[in-house]
Amino acid sequence: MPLSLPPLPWRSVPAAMLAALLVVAATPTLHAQPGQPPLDEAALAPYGGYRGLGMMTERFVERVTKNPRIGHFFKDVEADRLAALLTEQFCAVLGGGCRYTGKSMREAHEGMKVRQADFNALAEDLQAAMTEAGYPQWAQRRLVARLAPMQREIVE
Amino acid sequence: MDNATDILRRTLIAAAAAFVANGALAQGFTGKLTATGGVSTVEGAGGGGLTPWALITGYGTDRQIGGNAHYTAVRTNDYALATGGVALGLFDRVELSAAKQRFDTRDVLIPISPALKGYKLEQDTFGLKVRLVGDAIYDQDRPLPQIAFGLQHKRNRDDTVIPFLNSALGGGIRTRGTDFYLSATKLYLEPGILANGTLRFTKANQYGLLGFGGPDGDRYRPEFEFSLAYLVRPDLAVGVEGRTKRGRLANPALNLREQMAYDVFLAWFPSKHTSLTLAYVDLGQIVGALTNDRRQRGWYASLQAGF
Repeated sequence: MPLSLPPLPWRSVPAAMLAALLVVAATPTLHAQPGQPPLDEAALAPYGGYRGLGMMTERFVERVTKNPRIGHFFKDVEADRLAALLTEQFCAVLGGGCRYTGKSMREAHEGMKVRQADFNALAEDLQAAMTEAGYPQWAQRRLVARLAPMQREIVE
Repeated sequence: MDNATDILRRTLIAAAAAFVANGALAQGFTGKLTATGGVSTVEGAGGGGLTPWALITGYGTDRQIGGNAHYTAVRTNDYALATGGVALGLFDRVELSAAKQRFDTRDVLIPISPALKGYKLEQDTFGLKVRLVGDAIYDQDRPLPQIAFGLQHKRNRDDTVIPFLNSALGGGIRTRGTDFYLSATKLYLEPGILANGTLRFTKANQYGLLGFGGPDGDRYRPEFEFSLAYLVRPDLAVGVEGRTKRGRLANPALNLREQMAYDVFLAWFPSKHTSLTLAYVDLGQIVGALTNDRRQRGWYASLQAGF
């Protein structure tokens, strides 16, 4: 029996095209930056997606800038830009599909005389921010584990 | 209880001194992450409860000094052990420790002489540990563990049991000995697993509580120890430990056979200044003929205070 598709109603064609456009347009807005590869939503799901990760990172940046032990490292830093770059970096190390567009860790910390204790104080702020965001322990450990080796490039 | 309270008193004094030293030395705060200082072993070194780890004790980083004092009580079917000690971690590289053990034989020696009821063997242990390579915490992207070399010089102060054993067995048991060990510790942060293996070269009989060497000679023998822990939370670890003990003393009348020791532990780190470890231990037979040839099983509790 020959198959025949029902005729497409003339008026629904632009509607379908519009819907498709909306979907395409909506996808890139999940990214903070244009020109980023597609996100791996599954990898970011435990962190509340890219948005959730970004919100946690903003709280984390707030903590470090207010931390009396390490706040002085951030006094000339624009908090929003730092949070955006860190979100990109966290997303990248978690396999979330982002490309980190900031400086290398070595470049970014050159001459800052970051000590071991400073690095660990920052790690504690990150743990606190993740706990506040309600991340499960295993998800917290995953992010800390993937950032830990950066100690070699950051600490003098 | 004199035994326990005396060691506890000394430990508290040491802890107070450690806090004062902390204020002077550590310039405000110490930097390692919670729990990464480990707890204190029964021989005073930083590690688990039974076996030393390659981690340097305390919370000092590469530019700081960390330190702690601990008090540990163990009670098994037939014996009790109280241990107190202090340890310093220098620049996350060198660890110095001193511990005093009092091993209460309770009623075990009564068949030998009623005067030996409640006889306590005392032993002092002085430890040195040096981190050789690796970083257990930061090297998450490398397979290499943190590796440390250590030694424990032990001085048994007993003047009763070891002379008795020497006359019964034909001599050769010394009251002093030095253990050497290599420890490798790796923290797998993502799954939250800490693994440690220690290879110890020792002449000790029952940790040195029954002296070192014996009529069969004075040679070092290798022993293997392990710890495996799971970090439930950043401040809570559960795990198991094991330690082979193959002391060569033999006497059919006393049954001096040694067996592997194990424990299952829960360590809680409410802050970087304190930790509490509770464990169920099985130390194997200790002078079996006088203790119904049973394995010495019981409870272990350890409190550590430091910085």
